[in-house]
Amino acid sequence: MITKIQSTNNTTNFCALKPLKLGNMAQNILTKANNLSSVHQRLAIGASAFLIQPFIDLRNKEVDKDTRKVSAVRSAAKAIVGTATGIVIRGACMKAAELKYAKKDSAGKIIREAGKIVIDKNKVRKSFGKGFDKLNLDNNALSEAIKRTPSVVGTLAALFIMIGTNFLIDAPLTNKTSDFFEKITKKYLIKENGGKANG
Amino acid sequence: MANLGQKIIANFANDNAKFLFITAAIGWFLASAAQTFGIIVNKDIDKKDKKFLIPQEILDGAVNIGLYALITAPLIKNTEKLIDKGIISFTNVQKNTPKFDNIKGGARVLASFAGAVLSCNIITPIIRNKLGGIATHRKEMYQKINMDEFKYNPYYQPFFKKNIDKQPLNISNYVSFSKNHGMKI
Repeated sequence: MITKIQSTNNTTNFCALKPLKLGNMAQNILTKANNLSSVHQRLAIGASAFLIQPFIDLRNKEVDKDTRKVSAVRSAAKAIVGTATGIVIRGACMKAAELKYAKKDSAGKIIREAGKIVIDKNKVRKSFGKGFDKLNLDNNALSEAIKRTPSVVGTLAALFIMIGTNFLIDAPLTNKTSDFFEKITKKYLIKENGGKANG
Repeated sequence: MANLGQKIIANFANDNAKFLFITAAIGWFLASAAQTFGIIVNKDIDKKDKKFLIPQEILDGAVNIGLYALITAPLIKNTEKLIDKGIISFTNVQKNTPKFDNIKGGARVLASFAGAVLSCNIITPIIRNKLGGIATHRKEMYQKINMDEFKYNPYYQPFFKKNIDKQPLNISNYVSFSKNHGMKI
């Protein structure tokens, strides 16, 4: 736990913070985190949105009780649809990029290690060599960056695709799912109010 | 142009946290643009409502992206500073070694995740709900102005006291109003 014990003027005085030493387990987690992709990011944001946002809506005192329940359901629906489409499109584009830069054996078959596609570093260097040369990275950093390149290419391609899918799939699907959940909630609210619609 | 593309992709591949931060912001911008476009092309929404809804949607998107950048960027930067200054250190790992760089990169990525969750899923919804009250009030005001501008308001009775039931002032309720025993002319 980092405890801020002293500060000068308005800036954070890092020298005054209690040092924190992280052990092997934390180091392993952080090392793995360095290779997390936009799919993991979308999943983290979507899952937390699904768990947190409905509760924030239920505590919104600016609207009446029934509206709170409906808006909580809408938030949950938005989180489900947004996360699902985001993950599917990003995942598909990243997979396509991985296949494009995959290492193949003499028979043209894709090489896999522990179920994961092995990236052909030469193919990546051939496509983005000039960019990597300008960065002057050491061997380890270069190797890590090359491993991440298909993920970067896939995510950027997904963003272009999402310009269209946001309009064609995301927005209408979110509306339909929200309306569906909203109808269920309203039915439940009418039952709860003894057969009378409220609000 | 090809060189610029190569440079951008190489930079993004080298700095995963920066890449995730920037692409998430672009993703939200696109989502917000889609919502705004959806309102613009929606034929079920009339022009007057669009005048209110379009700026509201743009403002909503700007608040989302602005808060995300305002929270996440300093979080990534400060995490990096804490590690560089040795406030956060790692057992049996020397500074500026490949392992150290990987761990530091991972910490920056997790900081970007934490910033995104904190800003987009906690702070923004709370602010949006608070602003929602103001937006509703703004919409009511806007509708009232429109109504006053284009329609005759039957409730407006400049020389007579408004009746309790807010009945429009027509001849029948004027007669009942004038026959009222409490009325003094």
